[in-house]
Amino acid sequence: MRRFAGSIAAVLSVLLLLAGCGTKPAASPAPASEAPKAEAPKAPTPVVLRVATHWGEGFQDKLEPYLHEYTKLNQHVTFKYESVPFDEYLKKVQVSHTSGDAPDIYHVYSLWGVQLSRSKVIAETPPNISTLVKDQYTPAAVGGVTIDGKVWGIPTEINNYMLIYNKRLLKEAGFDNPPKTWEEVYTVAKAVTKKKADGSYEQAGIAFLKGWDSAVVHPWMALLLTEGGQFLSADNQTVRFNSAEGLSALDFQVRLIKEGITDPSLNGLGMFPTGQLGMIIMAPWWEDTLKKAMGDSFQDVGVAPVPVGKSGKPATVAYSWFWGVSNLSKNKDEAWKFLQWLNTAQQEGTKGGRMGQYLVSVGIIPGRKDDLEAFPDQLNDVFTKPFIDAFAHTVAEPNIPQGQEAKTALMREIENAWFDKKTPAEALKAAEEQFTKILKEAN
Amino acid sequence: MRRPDLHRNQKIAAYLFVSPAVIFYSLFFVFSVVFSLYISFKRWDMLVSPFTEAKWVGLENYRYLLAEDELFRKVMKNTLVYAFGSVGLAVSTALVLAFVMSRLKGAAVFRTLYFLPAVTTVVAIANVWRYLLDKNNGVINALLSSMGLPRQPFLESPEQAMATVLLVALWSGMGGAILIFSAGLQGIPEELYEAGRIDGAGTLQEFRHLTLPLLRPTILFVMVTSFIGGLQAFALPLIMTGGGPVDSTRVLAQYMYETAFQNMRMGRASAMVFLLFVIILIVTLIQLRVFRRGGVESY
Amino acid sequence: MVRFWTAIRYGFIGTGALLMMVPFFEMILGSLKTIAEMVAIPMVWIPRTPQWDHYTEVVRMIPMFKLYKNSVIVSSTVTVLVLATSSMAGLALAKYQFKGRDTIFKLLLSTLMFPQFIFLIPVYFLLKRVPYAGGNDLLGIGGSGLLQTYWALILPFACSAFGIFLMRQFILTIPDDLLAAARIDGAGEFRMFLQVILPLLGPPLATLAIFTFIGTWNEFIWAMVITTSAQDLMTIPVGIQLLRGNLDPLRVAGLMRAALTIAVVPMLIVFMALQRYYVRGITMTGLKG
Repeated sequence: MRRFAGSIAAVLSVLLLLAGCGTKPAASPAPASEAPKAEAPKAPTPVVLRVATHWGEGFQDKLEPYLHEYTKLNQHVTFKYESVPFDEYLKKVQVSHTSGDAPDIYHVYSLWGVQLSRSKVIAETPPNISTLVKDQYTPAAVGGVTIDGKVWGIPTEINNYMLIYNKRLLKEAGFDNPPKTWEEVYTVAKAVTKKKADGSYEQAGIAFLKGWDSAVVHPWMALLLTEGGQFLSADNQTVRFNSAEGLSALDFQVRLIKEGITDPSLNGLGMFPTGQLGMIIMAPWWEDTLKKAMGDSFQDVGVAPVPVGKSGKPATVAYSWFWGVSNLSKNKDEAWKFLQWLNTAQQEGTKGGRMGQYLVSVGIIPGRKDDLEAFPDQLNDVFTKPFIDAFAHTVAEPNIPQGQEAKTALMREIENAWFDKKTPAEALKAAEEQFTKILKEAN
Repeated sequence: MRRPDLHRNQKIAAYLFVSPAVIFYSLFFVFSVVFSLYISFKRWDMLVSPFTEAKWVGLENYRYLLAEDELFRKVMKNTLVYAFGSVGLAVSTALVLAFVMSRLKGAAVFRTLYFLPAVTTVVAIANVWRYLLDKNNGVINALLSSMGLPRQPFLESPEQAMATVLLVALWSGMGGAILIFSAGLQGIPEELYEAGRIDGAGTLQEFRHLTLPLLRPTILFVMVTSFIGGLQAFALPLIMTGGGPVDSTRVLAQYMYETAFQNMRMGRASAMVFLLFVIILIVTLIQLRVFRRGGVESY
Repeated sequence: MVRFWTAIRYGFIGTGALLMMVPFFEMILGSLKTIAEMVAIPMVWIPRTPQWDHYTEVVRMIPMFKLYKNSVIVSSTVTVLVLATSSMAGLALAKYQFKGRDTIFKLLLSTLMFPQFIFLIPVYFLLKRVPYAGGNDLLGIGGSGLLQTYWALILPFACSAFGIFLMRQFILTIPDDLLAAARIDGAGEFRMFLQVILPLLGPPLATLAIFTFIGTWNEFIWAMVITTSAQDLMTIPVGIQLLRGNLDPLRVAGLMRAALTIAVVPMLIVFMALQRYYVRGITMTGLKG
């Protein structure tokens, strides 16, 4: 028996050895000997700030130099950059929080703000940051970070939607100017669309993107607004999109699809850069991608207001993002200090901040007033200026609880109508029911 | 079999030998089932409140899924189509291939080739097939087009996506079924075939009247295991289509995953799993009955 | 006539096998093409000069080495644990008489019936609440438990009902006399296990090892849930999916094929080398992996 016990002990010790691999995998090493050592006894303790964003390659390499710059200025602070594709990003934020070991800084989509703030995933801003946000940012930007009357972070980008079109294709079809109304969109799209013998599209007049909630919901919302409709009631408590206006926006899209002028299966994001697509309703962040993909033919790209419906009044929709700090972070102060520097510290010779510079460099419009003035070259170009001009009549996407879930439900119903699985009226009714249920449940 | 010299030592040793497994299954399995069942009666988001404080909602999660949730119905239908489709395709194709291969020199090499997808990560399978099926740059459409046929949207079309994913599932899962069928076929004594041949039976008749009946237990086994596997499909449709277009390939596992980790509705997600379990249970009970009747040793 | 039919049969399964190989060709050849060759019409089947750029770039973009290391650590630890737990439990269930034996065996088999998704939420919760791990207190509150450690990817797979079943079936065929002889020689039960039983288990253990290793290597859903927060633990299948976040689909196409080739080819080689054990495992039990 003793022998037996001995053998068990041997096995256990093997298992314990194996346990060695259970220790935490090495995180990125802290800066080694560069930091001042014993001679500066009051040197702050080294801090590693984990920064999570959905900005992957191509964006990340433009942001990271600022992190290095900050480390140079504050040697005790180093960074670990974690990038997750947008599709997985909300899961990342929430699952990290439940795991108890979360990044310190999140780049947060405003639509998620309500659920993330109410469930205490993100921390409230310290008073100095709230004041700074209210003072320095445009009202639309402040609106994006304000939930239940409090500010939850530092606004970054504001993206509104416009009609992006290919001048060459429109001209070839006989149009010198982009369409101003839905009826003109119909005419132009019909003229630009060319099909091959087998029925596939050689070029398409207009495309509606599928399978991506923002790309489906936002353009439809913009149409709804130009028709004079409302998305939710002013207090965000009641659904208003299931209305005559909402229906006619959806009917318009369905009509283009049914008449074979467009097809929701078209890969609009791929067709536009290759000159096979006439028009698409998109956001300004696309500029950088288009420039890279199109080269010289980028000069064919034009930007015009979203064509208007019955109301005749221009309108469009915007969504925004902000920097927030995790409630689990043990370095909240350092995190806010860094964010304040990144977003608002002036750079030499310009009023612009680093974040603003980063945003405009990738074609995104910043929400900070000084930044809007500081980068005229990038913001007044033919692509971006129309977006900025349109801010005057831009309506922000409302921040509601379970926003992502609700929006996905709406996308699903819009697609049901596009793909003829439901009539537009049925689809909007179903979307309204799901929205209402979610809104009620949260109260 | 009762041994008279049952020492205490041996008894203790037995318990010690089996204890890691028992502890493991009590912790991970029994706890999981009980915990899942418990939270399926709650509304719990896992973010803030400890689950004990989460709101008890009784059967609401089940009611919502069965009575109200249109998407759940669609997803359930997709899941069943996927499970039945993958069983039908895998069994029929693998059976034919195994039969054609049987008693052929070098069959082992072919079986290995057919089996390679089974050791390939699903991430590779799904992504590579996406490239093959791409409308503009994919090999398959290039072939179609060079034969003068119209290009097909495949994964981009709500009508074709599910069938396409099923064919890829067939590609990746067929190898295992072929191996099992081949083993079954090898178990059929050669004399039986020879007797058949003397009677003048053709290949087709031989297949129908000799091979199929003798292989029945094996076929049933493959059917049931791949059906249970099919009901749990997740990564392949997720990576190939993300569930689209218009949810035409969204299966229960993906819906459950999103409900839990995107919408943070742990209770509703757990309720979904239990509904799936009920289906699997029914299938398994049918399996056990059929197996016994088919004279297969209890498994 | 017979020869004719044999030729037809070879033709049939040969064509099938060729079709089966197409995706592998696509993956490997595609990873060596230039972007222009990828979109060329008509199709370019074989790249004119192999391009290795995709490989060098993908290694720069995603931490392939770290992914590999994680996958190796997780898969091999799981394999060792499964071999240990399966052979011990298999022995107990096959060769010992004790109370509850048949119940335990039946319960173990019945676990195969439960959908794996039943474990996602509870096991996640469980691992987070392990006392005194990852900054937790006695009650398992306050920290991240085991969620940020390799154990999160290992422990839930440390035991396999399939493995126990496989081992039990094999150990049943070992004659009782062998065990009796060992006992008469004065061997303790555990030494008997190590010195008498284990050496006989070579072939089924090899089978189980390959099954477990390849299965763990390819595991996707649990690794995805865990590494959503613990990015340092990413295994190969999950890590490669990160590439999909890039907005330039054509560029990703080349990188993805290169990454997949790096991920898949070693497994294919391991399998080809050891396939006879794998095939035996499947045919021996009639169970599918």
